[in-house]
Amino acid sequence: MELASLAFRTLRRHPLRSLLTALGIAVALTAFVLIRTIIGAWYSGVEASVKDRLIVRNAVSLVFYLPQSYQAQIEQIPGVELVGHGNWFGGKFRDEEMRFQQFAVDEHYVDIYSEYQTSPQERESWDKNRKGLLVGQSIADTYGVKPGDNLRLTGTIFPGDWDFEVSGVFKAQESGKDTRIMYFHYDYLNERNKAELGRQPDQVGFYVVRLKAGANVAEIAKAIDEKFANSFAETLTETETAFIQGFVSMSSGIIAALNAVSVVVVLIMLLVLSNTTLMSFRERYREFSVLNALGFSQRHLSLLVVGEAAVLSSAGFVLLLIALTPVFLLPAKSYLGELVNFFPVFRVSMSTLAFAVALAIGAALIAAFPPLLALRRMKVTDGLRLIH
Amino acid sequence: MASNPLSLVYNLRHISRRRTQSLFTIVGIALVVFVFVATLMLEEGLRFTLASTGSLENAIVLRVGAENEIQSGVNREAASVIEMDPSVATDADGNRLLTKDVVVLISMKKRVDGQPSNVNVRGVLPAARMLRDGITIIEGRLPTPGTREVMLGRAIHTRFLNTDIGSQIRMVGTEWTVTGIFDPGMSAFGSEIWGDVDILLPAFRRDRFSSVTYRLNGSEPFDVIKERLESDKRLSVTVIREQEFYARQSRVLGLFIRYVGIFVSVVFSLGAMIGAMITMYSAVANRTREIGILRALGFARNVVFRAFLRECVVLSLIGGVGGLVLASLLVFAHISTTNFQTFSELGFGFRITPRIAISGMIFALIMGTLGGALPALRGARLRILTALKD
Repeated sequence: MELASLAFRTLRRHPLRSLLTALGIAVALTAFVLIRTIIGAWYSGVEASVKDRLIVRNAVSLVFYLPQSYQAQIEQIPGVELVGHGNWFGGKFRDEEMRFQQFAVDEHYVDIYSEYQTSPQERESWDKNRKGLLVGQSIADTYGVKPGDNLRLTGTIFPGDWDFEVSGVFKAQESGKDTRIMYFHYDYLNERNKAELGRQPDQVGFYVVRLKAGANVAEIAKAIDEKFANSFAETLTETETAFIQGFVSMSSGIIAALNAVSVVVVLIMLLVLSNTTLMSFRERYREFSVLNALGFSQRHLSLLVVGEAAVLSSAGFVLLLIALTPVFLLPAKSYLGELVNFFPVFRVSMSTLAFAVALAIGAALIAAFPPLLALRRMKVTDGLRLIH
Repeated sequence: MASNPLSLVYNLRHISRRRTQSLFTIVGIALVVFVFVATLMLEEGLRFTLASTGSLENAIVLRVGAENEIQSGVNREAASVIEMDPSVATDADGNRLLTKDVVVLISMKKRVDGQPSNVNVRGVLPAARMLRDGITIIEGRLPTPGTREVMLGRAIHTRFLNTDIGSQIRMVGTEWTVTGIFDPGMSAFGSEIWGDVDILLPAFRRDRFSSVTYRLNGSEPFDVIKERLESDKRLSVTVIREQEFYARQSRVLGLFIRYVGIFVSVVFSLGAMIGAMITMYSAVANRTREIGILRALGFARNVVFRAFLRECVVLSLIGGVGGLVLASLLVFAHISTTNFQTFSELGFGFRITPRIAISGMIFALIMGTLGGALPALRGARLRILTALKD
């Protein structure tokens, strides 16, 4: 116990230096936590996905369509409960680059995505309105859109202005789900495609399949692909998790770069902390010799050195928690700024915090190592003789 | 600084006397400058690759509203109208320097991990190679027009499986033979597969082209051509200079790299500044007596202040140079990722410019000045008597 109080007292001898060191550690830990959270945000879609929901798309790539007639055929496969379809619309809103997803879907699609909840009245009004639009809560919040409003998208894939009427706003059942999504009726898209754009009608982007409870996911995915093998539009069926994982792994280069950066920040933290521990040990070389001569063993002195480093890094961790309060309390937009468009789901996970604790402890041990080595080599007589 | 009676040698001697501490500070600043410069280099590399993909002398025609070729569609009639436009340049033999491209994405497996990623397949007319200078075959031969033969960019060859000469690539149920690998010069076409548009278009069951690109003959101002084609009711197209078109495609990814880079650099620089402050405060504390003697000898407060500030600036500049040297090694590295705007794979490198190097050094200088100012101030404000008594 005296050792702990001794450690505290020594740190108070250079209050400014101790404060700066703790601050340095806090800054590095904050950066580390934020970078890990950014990487986590990238995978948030994968985590929130459903493992027994299948996505069926054209085997060549996502830009190729599938015929609408496949819907009935997939429904007949044993184990399949419900089949919906969606088309990526990719329009511009208020002349901004696309900041949310827009899908032209059928009613089954909305039923399958049951994690997004609409009130029965709003859902009914959407079902009845050919130009009806269901928007996610975060879009409604960001753009101040409410049911009854008219809204216009400008097509990039499907040219022209597309007018909609907002029928309802849906919420995510759990907070980990992104709600920057809009749904409108596939029939609206299909009719205009036929009438004005001269496109091939009855083509859908992809199918979503809900399976019956206990169905064999892999078997059914295989059965779907076999059904359309050697047809003019072969399919590729994967679970929703695998599908989203595919998107994430496309950006693996960026994720690798971010990982590298988080290693660099840990190095900076180590530098700051080791600088302080080494410096304070050197300054007190004589003092340590005195303590040793007084009968404090090497083990005691080592504990003192480690203890000082540990107090500093714990202080840094406490400062980290203070620095993170806005992340816990405020909306992401206020501290991420423009970056918020890339990371709709931005939450610091418990495992990241645990990782930060481990880092703080590890850094303290490593930073205490050089002075410990010097301590082992120390001879009491040398230390007492040393003149500053 | 030359007027300062305490010379630079004074600083350098002190720096070399406290080697470990100086090294810690230098390395800290070097790491920050490294990260800062590396992000700038990456953004510049991306911008440069896409900017050199398009030529200022070429115009690209897309469907109105389309932001990229994947979204676009130009039907045969419209393409013929554009082909006959008086602004299209011809070569010595009178052939029109124009290509009607079809661009689709196919999924291919990466060499590193076998994971699929999207690759651009482009069907072109023979004139396409003349429009894009610097595309040369480095292995094999050009594909024969009218056959199921393709050539692919070097970046595709190095990053994707099954892309050697003679390999068969399976697209829409049929096999395509790789006959050549091309060097795209500086452009992003190295991340594409090229074949004959007349074969690819029906194979992909498309009834329209994705874009029409042609060399401008310079007979009229670009705005006039743009106005004429865009107002033509039969076409419903937009006309853009090719260079601007490709530059636009780097916007979102470039912004992303910049935001993340600045965010990270600013946070890191705080850490490095704190490190520098710790070192400088201890330098002041260790030399309290020396400062007293200097002041007693008649050196003014501002001389002492400048001497300590300069010491920190020297440390940071050494760190800055170190960071720059480390970062410039990155020009040998290559990054490949999916472009958010086109959903296809794009390879690009790090690129250093004098401007980036200067920014890195200025950044180091700012860190040194901010980190050294407070400690230097403390040194300068010491009272002579108290300092001498230390």
